[in-house]
This record gives sequence, structure tokens and C-alpha cells, in this order.
Amino acid sequence: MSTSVHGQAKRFSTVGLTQQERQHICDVFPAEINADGIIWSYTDEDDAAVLIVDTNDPDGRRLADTFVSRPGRVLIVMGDMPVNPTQGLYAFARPLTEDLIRRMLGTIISHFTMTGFRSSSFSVAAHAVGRDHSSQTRLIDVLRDLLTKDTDVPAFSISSREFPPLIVSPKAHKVLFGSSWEEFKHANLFAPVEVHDILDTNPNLPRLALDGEPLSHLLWLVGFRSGQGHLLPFVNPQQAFKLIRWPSLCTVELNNAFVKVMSYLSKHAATPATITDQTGISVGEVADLLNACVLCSYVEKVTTEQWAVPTKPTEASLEKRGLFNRIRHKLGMLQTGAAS
Amino acid sequence: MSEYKIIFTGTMGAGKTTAIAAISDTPVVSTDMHNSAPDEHSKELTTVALDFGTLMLDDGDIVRLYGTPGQQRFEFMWGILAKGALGLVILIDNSRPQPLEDLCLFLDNFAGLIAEAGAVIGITCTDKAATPKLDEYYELLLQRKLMLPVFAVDARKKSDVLILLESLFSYLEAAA
Repeated sequence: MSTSVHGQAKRFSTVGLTQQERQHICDVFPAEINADGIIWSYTDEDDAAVLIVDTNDPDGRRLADTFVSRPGRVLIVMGDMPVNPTQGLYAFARPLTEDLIRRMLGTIISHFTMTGFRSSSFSVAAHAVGRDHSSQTRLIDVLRDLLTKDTDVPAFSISSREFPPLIVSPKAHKVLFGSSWEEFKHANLFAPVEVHDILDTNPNLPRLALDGEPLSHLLWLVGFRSGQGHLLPFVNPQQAFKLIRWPSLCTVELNNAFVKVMSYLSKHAATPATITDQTGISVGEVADLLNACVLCSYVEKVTTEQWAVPTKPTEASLEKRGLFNRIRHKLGMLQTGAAS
Repeated sequence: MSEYKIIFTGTMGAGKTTAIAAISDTPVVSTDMHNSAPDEHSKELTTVALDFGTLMLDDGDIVRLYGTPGQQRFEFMWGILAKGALGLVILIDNSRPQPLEDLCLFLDNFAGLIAEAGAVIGITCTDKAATPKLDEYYELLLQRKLMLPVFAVDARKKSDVLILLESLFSYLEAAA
């Protein structure tokens, strides 16, 4: 049963954000009254149902920990993940664009309207702040959980307010989209989801076998988009990885960052920071790609003993790199971003 | 002034000539003849010796772009062309009867160049034939203990040809 939110008042607060960021949020939240039926107002952190914090700020970090220990609160983290990342609901990257604020708001709203949970005085779904429950609410968490289980798990469906139901078969390694794949690619993957068992007699199962997409396509898309420029909690930033197979790129547009990172990882084991150092691809893009690779098991972990910090490039390799750059320049690959 | 070469190989009709034409500074010199193997591909003209294009770099260096003949009976030429090449672009027509076997043929014949330098694989005509999927190509490569990039491309699009080249260059840079 959905909890109606129409006409309710909600208070939010921010800690550690810049004046400009706070103003930006204050500008966008009240403007969403008509769309979501919630009247938003700014308050201090003690009264807030929703707290948006920058955990790089000492006050923000301290409050993030205490805020989520109280029931019925929603914590949104800006910047780095909190000390205990399982307690932060979502991490949003800077810069704080209007689109990002709206997405943040959509995330909060979906928690307010989650089915099957009794509302607190702030109408926040009680399970939204706890580790045990929140680990199952997002598509990324459901899929991550699925992958840690035996692949004999029977087929099940995943539903959300934001996209038509998916039917997933871990055994067949396939997924059937309730809408088209193209449509699903643009869905809000941060919305809470529910998982339902399905019967063997479900008429969609034969369709799944015939028309299902490889599950890896879904995993790649969700892995790629869920971190928003940050490593997901299951990707250790100190860990070195090596590619064990190239991803089949059906889900994200082929681009320069993808090609460079995968090429590097196909030849070298590297930590996220090393990949950025060696390829020049930004930290955020590397994080998104690694998240997807880890979720899809396209990379393997390499122990410290097996991994060597890259040495300085030789003259021959610099010469080769120079030649390729001249060809890139000639073909307009550097200036026009034809391949970027 | 130095000269380098990049080899484009693959099945007949996969788009080798078109790919070279998309990036060459000079009109592609092709040695086309009427197709005498219509059972392999229905196109009227086909390359019997090689396609040849050039990229003139700013410092006077030249990159020569060679397209090998696609028909298997010309495979004796493939090794000659491959000698000393920077790298290899393999184009496979997905609409042919056995595209995975086609790929095996080129992997075998260019094994030396692939081991010494590297290769990237472009699958064309996926709009005409949706299968085999890219995953099947990757499975084949895994079985052969090769880790090469495979992309679905349209050889008529310059941007697709450029991403193949970018991929080849990135791969070669990482290997250097």
C-alpha cells in the first residue's frame, strides 16, 4: 500500500554545503510542490526529516552519523561517502546541478511513498535509514545481492515506480524488460525497487528465454550509472584490478574513456588511481567504468604481490605514443572528440 | 621521413575498402575485379590484390593503410602485407553464413601480427543479422586465450572507423 504524501509538509536541512549550493537546493525543492504534493521548507538539522550533508566537512561527518541513528530520517550525502558507507542512503557528486537536485528530490520522494512500510511522523519509510533494509532497496543492491547467491535462484521480477517490471533469470543469465531496452536505459535507476517471486507458469518465462537480453547488459548499465562518479562500496579504492574479458558494449555509448581504460586494464593490473594516472581519464569516469566491470565480473582482483607500480615509459613507448597522437591529430580525434 | 602501415583485413564485403576510404588522404587505390566467387558474397566488384590509402602526417611521416583481399584464396598475400605493420583491424560481416568461423580464419592467418602488435575487431552488418551477438565473439576469443576488443560498427561511418583506430592505438599504447 502506498503512503499518500499529498499536501504534507516536509523539512530539510543541509550541513557543510556552500551557501550557493544550499540556495540552489532551496530554490528547487519548493518549486516541486505541485509535482509531488509535498511542501518543502528549510529548517535546522534537529528538526529535519531529510539531511543533505557534505561528509568532507567535520560537522557534516559527525552529524551524518548521528542523524541516521534516529528513526525515520533520510540522509543524502554529497561528496565522499560517509565513514560507514552502508548508512548513507545515496551519494551525489558535485557539481550540484539542477538536474542532480531534482534527482535527489525524486529519490527522497520515492522513500516517502514506499509501499509496505509504516510511515514515521515525517512520513519517511522507516526502513530507509537502516542498513539491513536499505541494502535491498535500490536496483544496484538487489543485483549485487543476486550475484552473491547461487545462480540456481529461480527467476524473479523487479518492479519500481520508475520503470516497468523486469524479469530476471540468474540461471539463464537473462533479463526481460517490461519496456524496450532503449526506454529502460533512460529510467531512474535510483528509485526503490521491490522483488517478487514468479511462478514457473508465468507466461513471460518463455519470452524471457526467447527475447531476453543478456543479464550482463543490465548489470553494466546499473553498475555504470549507480556510482555517479564515485566508487561503489563494494569496489575497494586500494585494490588493483585486471581485465579478464572486454565488456560487450551494448549498453553505454562507446567512447574514448571506455576504450582507454579497458585497453590499459587488458594489459596491466591497476588501482583506480593508477588508471587515472596512466590514461588521463578522470577519477569519476574511471569509477563509473570500474563499478560496472566489478559488477559484471569483467575484472579480477590482483594481490599486492602480483601488482607492480608502473615504471617510467621507455623511449620506444614514448615514440610510439607520439606517433599515435600525431595520427589522432591528423584524423581530428583529439580536437573534435570524434572518439570521445 | 618514416613510413608506417596499418592493415585492414576481413571477409569479403565487410567494408575494408569503405573503412580505408573514410580516413585516407588520397583516393583509395583498389584493384577491384568482377567477383568470381558469388557464393562468398553477392557484391559485383571485389578486391583481388589490395586496397591502398595514405595518411600524411604533419611532420612528413606517412601511414599507409592496406586492405587485404577478402577471399580466402588470396590468403598467401596476407602474411606479406602484415609484415612490419603497426597493428591490425579485422572486419567481419555478421550476415555471412559462418561469421565466427570467418573470424577464426583471420585470427589464425594473422596470429603473428596479433601476438607482436595487436588487433581490434569490428563486426559489420549487424543491422542485417543480429546474431551472432558480440558475446559470442568474446566467448570465441576467450577460448583462444585472446583478449581483443570487439565492437559492432558501420564501416560507412567515419566515427565508427575512428573508434576502431582509437581502440587499436590505446591497446598498442598500453602494450608498449
